[in-house]
Amino acid sequence: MNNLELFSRIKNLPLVSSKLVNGFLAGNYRSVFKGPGLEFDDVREYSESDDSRFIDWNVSSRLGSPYTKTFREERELVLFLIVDVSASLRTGTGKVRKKDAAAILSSLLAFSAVHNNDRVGAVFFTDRIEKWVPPRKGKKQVFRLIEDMMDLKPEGRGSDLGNAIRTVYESLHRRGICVVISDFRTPPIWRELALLGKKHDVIALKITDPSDFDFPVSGLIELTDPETGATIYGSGRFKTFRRKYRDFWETNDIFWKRECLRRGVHTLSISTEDDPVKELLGYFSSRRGK
Amino acid sequence: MITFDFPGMLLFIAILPPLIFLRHFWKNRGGRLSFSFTIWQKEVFKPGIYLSNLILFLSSFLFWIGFLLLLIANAGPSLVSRERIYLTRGIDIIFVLDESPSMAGKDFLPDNRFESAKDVIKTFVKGRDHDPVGLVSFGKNAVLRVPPGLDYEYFLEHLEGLQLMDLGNGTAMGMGIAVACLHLDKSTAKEKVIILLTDGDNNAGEILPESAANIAAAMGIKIYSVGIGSSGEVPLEFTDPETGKIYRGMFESGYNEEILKEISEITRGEFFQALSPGALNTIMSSIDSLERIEKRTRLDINTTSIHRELILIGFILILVDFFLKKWIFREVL
Amino acid sequence: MVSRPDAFLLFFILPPLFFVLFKRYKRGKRDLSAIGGKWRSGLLMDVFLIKWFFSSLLIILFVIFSILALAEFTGGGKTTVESSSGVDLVFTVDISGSMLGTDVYPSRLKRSTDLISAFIENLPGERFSLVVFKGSGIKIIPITEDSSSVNTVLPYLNPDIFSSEGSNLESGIRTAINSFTSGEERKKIILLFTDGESFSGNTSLLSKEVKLKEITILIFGTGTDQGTELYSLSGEPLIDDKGNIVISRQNTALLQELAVSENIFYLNISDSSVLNNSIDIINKQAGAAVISNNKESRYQIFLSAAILFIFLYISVRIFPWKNTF
Repeated sequence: MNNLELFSRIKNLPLVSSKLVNGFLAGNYRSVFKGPGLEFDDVREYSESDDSRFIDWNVSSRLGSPYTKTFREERELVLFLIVDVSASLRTGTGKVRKKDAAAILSSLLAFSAVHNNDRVGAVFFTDRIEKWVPPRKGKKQVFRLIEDMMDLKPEGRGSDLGNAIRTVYESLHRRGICVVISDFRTPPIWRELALLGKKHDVIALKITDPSDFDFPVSGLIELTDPETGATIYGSGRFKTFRRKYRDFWETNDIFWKRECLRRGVHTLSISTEDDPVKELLGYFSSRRGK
Repeated sequence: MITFDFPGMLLFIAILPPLIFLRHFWKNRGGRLSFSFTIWQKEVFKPGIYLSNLILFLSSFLFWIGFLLLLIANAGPSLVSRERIYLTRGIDIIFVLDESPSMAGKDFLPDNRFESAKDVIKTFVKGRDHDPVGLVSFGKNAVLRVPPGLDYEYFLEHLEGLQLMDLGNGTAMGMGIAVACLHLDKSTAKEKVIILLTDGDNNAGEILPESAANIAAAMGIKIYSVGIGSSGEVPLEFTDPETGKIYRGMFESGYNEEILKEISEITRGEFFQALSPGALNTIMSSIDSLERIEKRTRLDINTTSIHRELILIGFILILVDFFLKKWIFREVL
Repeated sequence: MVSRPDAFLLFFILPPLFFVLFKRYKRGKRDLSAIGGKWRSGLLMDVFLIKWFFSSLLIILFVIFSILALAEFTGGGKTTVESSSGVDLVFTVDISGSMLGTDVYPSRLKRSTDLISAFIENLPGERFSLVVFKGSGIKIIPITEDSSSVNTVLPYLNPDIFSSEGSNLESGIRTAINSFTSGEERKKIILLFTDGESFSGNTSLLSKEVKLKEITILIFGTGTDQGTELYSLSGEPLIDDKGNIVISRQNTALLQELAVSENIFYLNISDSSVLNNSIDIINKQAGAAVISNNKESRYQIFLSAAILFIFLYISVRIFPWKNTF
């Protein structure tokens, strides 16, 4: 799938995103924020788009430039996306790559947040932080985010999720919802995840591919890992090979689920084969039902 | 030994290591599909070593061996064997060995006279170079054991097989010489020699030693006669080959020195007395050095080119690798 | 000139090769779409097609040129003359039971030994050796100028002198080959007397070895195709398990099969001109000079091409196309 196709799919997302609001943002997460009306939150430098009514004159005079008060509305949330753009996502055996599925899911979530008048931000990571998009409101922000995601040429190849989570933990002061979109082929992140979970609501969204569990039946082929460059012989015609392959990744998946749940992190696996919109809607509607 | 018609072509073997590196170890090499199978910095999925992996390794190995063989074949390899060709005819030597029971005399330690004689003949023959050797033995009768020829292996084998008393009790010395002469009749050698080893007096056979010696002299055959053993009482022990009975006892030893001397004189040979194994050895080596002629030889170099075999093997190895990988393992790329 | 046309038989591997290459294309496309992903199948198929085409072409060229190299096209060359100084003849006589067959008068064995005597008489000054074989070969007389020693033994040849059973032709010929001594430029000739019946041993490799050692073999078929009954010592005909009288026939086909090579001749002992014919052959072989024309093989051109093609074949795989594979 090229960017054009992807973009045309993303363009239609705002329509479905409204449906997601109910389940995703208006649902469970509503309850975590209490208190009526506006709530003073923070000060930040004044920009033209800001309402002049909220300029904090005390701070402004002290710092010599205009600062505006920010308020947290009761229903104003921060949705923060932690998106894996490592090389391992640039693979897949289906119609789309994992990377494309991740893009669609991030866009969908971002749209739904904006739809709900919430702020949305994101961090793109590989073995380093590739791009940091601070939380903002508005449709513009979503498109900027999507554009960033599309144009991003990651410098790193690996996937250091722990590092990304730590950065988010340290930089995001206000309570929000963090969605980790990755294939979770990362070093152990349980400590970081637990830490983040204390402060924010965390959802681990795993992008999977059919070939993550069953090696495709095919002749002998030399495979090279896009992240490490390691090489093995893949031979989908050999039962031993396929069994070992399945065991390895299935164990890994089970372990991931268990460790996430143990730290109060919700898990969700979405395959590149499936329609991400349907899967996501299905997931949140089922959660609401609980 | 292998030689090459175009050794310069061997330089092309130098392309093999870089090629093997590029094909199997280069990190940007082609023929691989990108496919994620590792967990970053944590775990790599390893299929482990099983039979098919091993076969694949072997298959690649065969391919490179095949490649190497083709490169070697391209240098025009030949097997070279050198053969020494004798241009001059050697000396025909026939040993005439006494097989009578008295040869069992134990004055030749560690064994007896007979075994000592066999030993020295063996050493003598091994020291000869392209001289036909034959063997006649006599007891009551005389028999040709080995016709004069260059098959030393055959000679030594039959020399080893000689047994005392095989030809009865007696010393048909004249017959022995006559038989030897008879079988030298067809010889084209310029020099013909009979080496007679005996410890007794002629007491059997229709031909007298002297008349036999005359025949030899007429044929231009030299006879070296060696009298074995000391005179006097000598202990003796031997096994009768027919009955298997072991005989022990003492006997009055002594050969007829006169006759032996005469034989040698008639044929312009020499007579020697061997009182001990050491003496026998010395005598044989002096005969050895007396009977030497200069030999002209030339080295024949035979080259057999082996490129075809190498091409065939290399070709087959490469195709085996091809069919194994592409057909049995169904390699995709 | 093609000196090894048998190499062209290897062209028979081309059809299976084409088949494998064709199957590889079909399977490759299928497998690649299964494992490579549809999102990039266009690119993968392009690269696959290019690489498949070139590697297939190159492997076919490699096979063709290797076969041409193996065919040994020759031309030019140099003629070498070797003089030989006489002949070494090894008489190799089958003394298995069937050699007592009387379809040849007075018997196959007796006729053979008579012929040997005639050879010795007609070839004065040469060297002779005598080998007999039954279950295995035995050197009776080593190579010698002393023809009388061979003559002495001949009358005593009969199946009973060795107890080993059978007729091991291979062992017989091998013993004969080993009878020759080195160090002289004499022509080596084996005169083989056998009826070729119920022989054992593998003679397939012998002809090559014999040729390599420049040995000439004259095979004398001692029996007839009609065959004869065999008699036991008591004078009664031999009878097999089913009660039929055993008929001993010469295995002419086998003997002629052995004689396909240019340095192996087949003759029948019952032929009236057998002695003259074989002495002619021997004299021709022993002729003062051996002229051998070692033509130079032009295999190198083809082999170099084959090596180049297999090198390119590997290279096609090694270097990734369009950053893909």
